[in-house]
Amino acid sequence: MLRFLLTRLLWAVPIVLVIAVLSFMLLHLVRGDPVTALIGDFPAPPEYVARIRAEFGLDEPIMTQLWRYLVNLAQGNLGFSFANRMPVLDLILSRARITLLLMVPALVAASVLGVIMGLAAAPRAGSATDATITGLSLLGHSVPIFWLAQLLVMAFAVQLQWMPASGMITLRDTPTGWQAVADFLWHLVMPMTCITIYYVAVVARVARAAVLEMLNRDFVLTAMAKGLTHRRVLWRHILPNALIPVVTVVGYSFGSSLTGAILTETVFAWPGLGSLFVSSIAMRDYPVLQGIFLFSATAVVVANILTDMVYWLVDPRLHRRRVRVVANA
Amino acid sequence: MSMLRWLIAPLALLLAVPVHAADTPKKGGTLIVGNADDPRVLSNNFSFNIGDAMVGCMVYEGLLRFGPDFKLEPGLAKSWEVSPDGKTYTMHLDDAKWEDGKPVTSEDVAWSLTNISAKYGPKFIPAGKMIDTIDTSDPRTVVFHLKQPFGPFLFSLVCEQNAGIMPKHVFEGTDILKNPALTTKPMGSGPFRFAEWVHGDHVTLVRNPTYRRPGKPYLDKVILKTIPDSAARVLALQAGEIDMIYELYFPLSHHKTLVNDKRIQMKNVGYGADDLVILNVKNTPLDKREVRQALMVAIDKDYMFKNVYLGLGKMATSIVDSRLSWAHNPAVDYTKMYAYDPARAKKMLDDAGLKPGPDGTRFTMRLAFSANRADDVQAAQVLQRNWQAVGIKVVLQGTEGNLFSTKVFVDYDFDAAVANYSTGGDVALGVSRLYTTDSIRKGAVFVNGSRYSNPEVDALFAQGRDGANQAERAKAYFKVQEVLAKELPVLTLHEQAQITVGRVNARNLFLAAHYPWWDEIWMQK
Repeated sequence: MLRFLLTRLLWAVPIVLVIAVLSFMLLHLVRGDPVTALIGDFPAPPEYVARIRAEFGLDEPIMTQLWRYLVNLAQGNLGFSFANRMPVLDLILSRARITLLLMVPALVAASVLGVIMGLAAAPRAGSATDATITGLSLLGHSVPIFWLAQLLVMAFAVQLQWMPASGMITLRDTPTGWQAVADFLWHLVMPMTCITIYYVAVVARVARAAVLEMLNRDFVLTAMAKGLTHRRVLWRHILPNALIPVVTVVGYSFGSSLTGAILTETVFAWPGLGSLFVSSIAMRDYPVLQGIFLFSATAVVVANILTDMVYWLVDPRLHRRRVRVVANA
Repeated sequence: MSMLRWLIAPLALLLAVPVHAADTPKKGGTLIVGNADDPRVLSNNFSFNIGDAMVGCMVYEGLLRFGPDFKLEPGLAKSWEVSPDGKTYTMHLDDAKWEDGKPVTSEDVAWSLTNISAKYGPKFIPAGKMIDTIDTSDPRTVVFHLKQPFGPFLFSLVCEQNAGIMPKHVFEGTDILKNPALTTKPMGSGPFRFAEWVHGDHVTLVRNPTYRRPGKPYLDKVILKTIPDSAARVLALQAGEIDMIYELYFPLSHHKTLVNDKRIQMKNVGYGADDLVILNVKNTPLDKREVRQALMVAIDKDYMFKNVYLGLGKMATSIVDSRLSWAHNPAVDYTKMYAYDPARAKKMLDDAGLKPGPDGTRFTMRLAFSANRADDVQAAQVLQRNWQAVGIKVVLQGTEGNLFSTKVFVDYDFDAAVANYSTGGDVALGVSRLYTTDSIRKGAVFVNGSRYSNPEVDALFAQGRDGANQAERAKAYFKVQEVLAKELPVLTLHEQAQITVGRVNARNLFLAAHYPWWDEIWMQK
């Protein structure tokens, strides 16, 4: 296990490095000047333009900029965001926390619901129940989040006035203590619903397929033959085995979801990484964009390693046999 | 009797209150403003960012402020005099205090305008360059001596023009850009004090109890809430979570949904911005004045106004936006001079020697536009149709906004380009840059992209800039509008609508012509 973990970690280093260089080059090779993007059509005097360019470090040759970026990176310094006037790392970490507040509950809900839907659908494969569950999950996956989110806001915030339209807290007469927690949860409901609907579909489909596959295995037949109840077979024997692909999907989603909530965050003005990403594009805030690329790439790599470790936990066979797991894609 | 009076008095009050309550400002309440992004810094003197201007001009004040119709009203300066030669400006300061209780003095004014605004403020730099010396011998009087008369000088002393007065004793001797007063601990003299900044979410400001104007501000708090998505911003306004959206952050495509909403008020504010077509006069046949005029005649202006610009704003009649009312020449009217008439346009092109070839094409031109702006895309399509109808083949070249600027202002690789120019609030600040010879600066964006150069035009714009008073300036600008109406290096098409929207219970939102007077706003229950 330890050796496996070390190998994975060692591999992560070049991957992250390549992503760092690639994202730097991609951002900088695009023709057009970030300073002009910042200034737009405003009558900016040349002195001002020159000062901004120097402040952004854009008056130096690109290779010098790249070298300086990599040297700083090696020292754990992701650079300085001029648009936000703070170090990029601090900025990203503070925003990532807010994204996690949204993504963790949403993914947990999606995993639980998805597995339950898979378990409900698979044994009744081909039935009306199965068709309904499969159809619903397909629908959930295909509905554009942006559209769904706006629809929710229009219905529940603007028309019915039941739910808040945006943000994490009520700004007018901000509540305190436990009411603040309740207020936060209240704001969480709609954005979380959007993300859950999307991921529940992914999980349900994978869970259904996995359970279906297990149903035909010999050990299931044996368990049935021994006279175990249907429910016990499903929960004790099939579920642990079917969980492996589910863990893969959830792990992968988790890694990518740190920035994957861009649309939801944008519509609900949830001040997480996704919002930061969007505003940084508009501001051409290169250091932040590079930082987000790097951060999300690292998150995917780490999530994959964690996923592998979860396999270890859910699959006791891996404890006995010294297998190299190369399970996830 | 006196008993009766005691009984009646409260009754009378009760009766009187409902009549006047609606219009009597009340203290208290919170105004929430929906912005597209966070401020960069907690000062308005470093950018033309809207969040900066809002926070900055709540925390700090300028010497003057914009009243209705851009009339200049007292700010930190309660009165002022201008010498007849237009070179000496004497300003008398009101009695104001910094948050730490120290008085705001002429030293603060001179130091911050020289060391902050004139160095870092894109809007103030042109005025800053004109200042020769500032006399601060009396702490309550500031005397500016200019190197030469500069028409927009008073205009440049308004807070939102990067001219917020900042405390010398906080900034002097420090690295200004790294001073914590810019990000965490500002110390101003304006109506509000900074309280909290949750990055990416909101900035909170609270009432300044020692503000110089007695009884002001009315509001307890102002919150700037960041909502990056424009549709979400409008929904938040409809849901009552925010009270106001500033013009640049209000998507005009939502105008229709809000215009009949009884809970919403709106007003055209801002100092003008125009949609126009830059013609590359270095390319044939656009170097011919007659051809440029024919292009203008061929444009179906009514159709464009109704369909491209949704009937909002107004079709332009000259190079100077009518919102700069003192400088706008009403005698020049493009809609009459160049009324839509394809037959006339064809004849003008014929006369210019551009007869149609065997395929009906007189010549081919490339029309560049920014694909990021829906208005520009549609305008380009209408222009293509209109010009092709008179025998000009038009190749549309839409690119991402940033690449558009490069193509037009760096490479000059275009024949015609749809662009948008802010007036900057004064002809000398935002309009002349399209036409003067010294604005032909390769690589600088949104300047003289057509590379039109005419000594007469240069001289008139200089007279307009340097005139000692507004009447004198206007005379030069009136004349230059007549000249350029014939020359047409740029086809000025449309005066953009700049609409700020708010909830009706936010009162006094529109006292000024541009940003609100924050200290005057109050919330009605």
